[in-house]
Amino acid sequence: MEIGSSRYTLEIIKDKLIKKGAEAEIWQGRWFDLQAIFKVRVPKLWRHPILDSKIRSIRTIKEAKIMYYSLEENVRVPYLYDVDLENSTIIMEYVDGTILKEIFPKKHKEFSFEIGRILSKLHSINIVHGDVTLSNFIMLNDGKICTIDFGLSEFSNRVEDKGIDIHLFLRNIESSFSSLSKESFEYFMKGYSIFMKNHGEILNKLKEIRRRGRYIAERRRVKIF
Amino acid sequence: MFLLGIESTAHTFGVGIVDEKLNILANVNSTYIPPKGKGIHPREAAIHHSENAAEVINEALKLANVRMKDLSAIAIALGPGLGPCLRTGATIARFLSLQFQLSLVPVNHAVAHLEIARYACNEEDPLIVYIAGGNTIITTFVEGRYRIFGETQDIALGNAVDYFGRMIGVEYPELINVEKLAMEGKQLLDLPLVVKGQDVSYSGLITSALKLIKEGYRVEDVALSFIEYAYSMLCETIERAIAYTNKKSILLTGGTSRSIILKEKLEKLAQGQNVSFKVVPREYAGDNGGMIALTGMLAFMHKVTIDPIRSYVKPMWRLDQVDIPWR
Repeated sequence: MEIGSSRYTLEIIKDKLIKKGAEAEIWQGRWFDLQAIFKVRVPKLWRHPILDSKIRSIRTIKEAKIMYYSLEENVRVPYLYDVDLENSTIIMEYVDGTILKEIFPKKHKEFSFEIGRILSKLHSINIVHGDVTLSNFIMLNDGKICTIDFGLSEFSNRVEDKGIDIHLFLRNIESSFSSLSKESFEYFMKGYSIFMKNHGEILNKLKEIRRRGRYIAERRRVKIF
Repeated sequence: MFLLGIESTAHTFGVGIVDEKLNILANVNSTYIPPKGKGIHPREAAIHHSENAAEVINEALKLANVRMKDLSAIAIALGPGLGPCLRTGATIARFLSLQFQLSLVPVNHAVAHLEIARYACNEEDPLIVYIAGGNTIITTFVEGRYRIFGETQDIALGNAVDYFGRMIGVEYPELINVEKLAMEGKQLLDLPLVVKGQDVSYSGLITSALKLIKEGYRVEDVALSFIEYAYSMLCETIERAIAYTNKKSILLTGGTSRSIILKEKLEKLAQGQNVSFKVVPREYAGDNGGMIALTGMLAFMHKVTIDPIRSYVKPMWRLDQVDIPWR
């Protein structure tokens, strides 16, 4: 199959805008027989046109690559259908299920463990997610957890970047379900230690990150350590 | 009730006078201009401040038609800023406070840049972009404090543009002159674009841009590329902040808000995000005494004062460490 959608436009229908983020639009539609999501990085008028198309194509490739590597390592993410570089669009599986944010308190220990396990796997192959919030995990009908939105993801082996990922998870739990945060973190770390042999090092970095000036307010509100 | 505010955190010694209705009656400023090709030398700037302080204070009093004995308080920017400059202003403020038995009000310089912009543009709760020689901060007000949504991890945008300008030999004011060169640029060259989550970083950009100059690329093209990359990084984090915070307006403040190209970009950005966009008036863009007086009055009316004996300067006083009781 050739990259670029122009030759089979008839089979591809992008018909409903479901989300407009800062960088990309998420459209729902059909790709041949399948329900599909179209993630479109839209041109920014405030950017120089050459820089704009360069940024959009680099980031589209990177995101698709990261999703592909994750799938290869058995991390459940939406299946890639196509990458349309001309329109900086990733066409992927439409994932049907429940956003974890809506059901988190029901099974917060299991979910936290599973998120820990997923991040552990990703970090062990040097991928950081960059936007770890409960809205970016979906429970599928078969009970598996699917990770979505790799828009801020990076290839990185830096302890700092991995620590930030965990910090993002913690901060998200604290702001949404603060009474569950201590237990959630405990189970998260159990999952996180599965593939990450140096999780102690990351944990120390996390402590350092949370001591930094800009996070003072959070530190005062909840004591995790 | 009148309050006199003193600004001396960097290159400007400024004095502002406000009344209790927050009318700014005087805003007199004297700015130290470094020798051609040089940046601010903290000691030289401090000497400038001590030499010009009396004259600036007298002029402000005359302009506002206020005598020292009419004042209720003195406000002083205790930080963040350059140590020697801060100490010069603080010494003068402590003296005035003790000599005329006036309350001393500590003001955070960054908070003052935000408050003057809100006041002058009549904005209640905007996303504020504060860009200057010493700061690059995207902030909103949440639960009693200004929270930093994104910032620079190394040097400030204004500092980066000024430094780049001096290295390629443009004259003061570097910002305007670098942008003039950039407008004559034709070819966009490759440079690093460093956006880390919500933060930006400018140090690598300067090094790479200067390397292109050494390699013999046209100065105009390098200037164009430098400006495009530097502003694109900032705009991207601003756009993220708008999407995340759902604020309905963007307010630009600080010395670098005089930039013509950035204003154009932000206008387009605001249009695309369907929010309004305002810029602080020119007289309150750079460091000025008026903003310290205004913020000092807001603080003073909420009983924020400091004992002169404990009024140490705070060169690293972060924006998000300051409680804002008036909001």
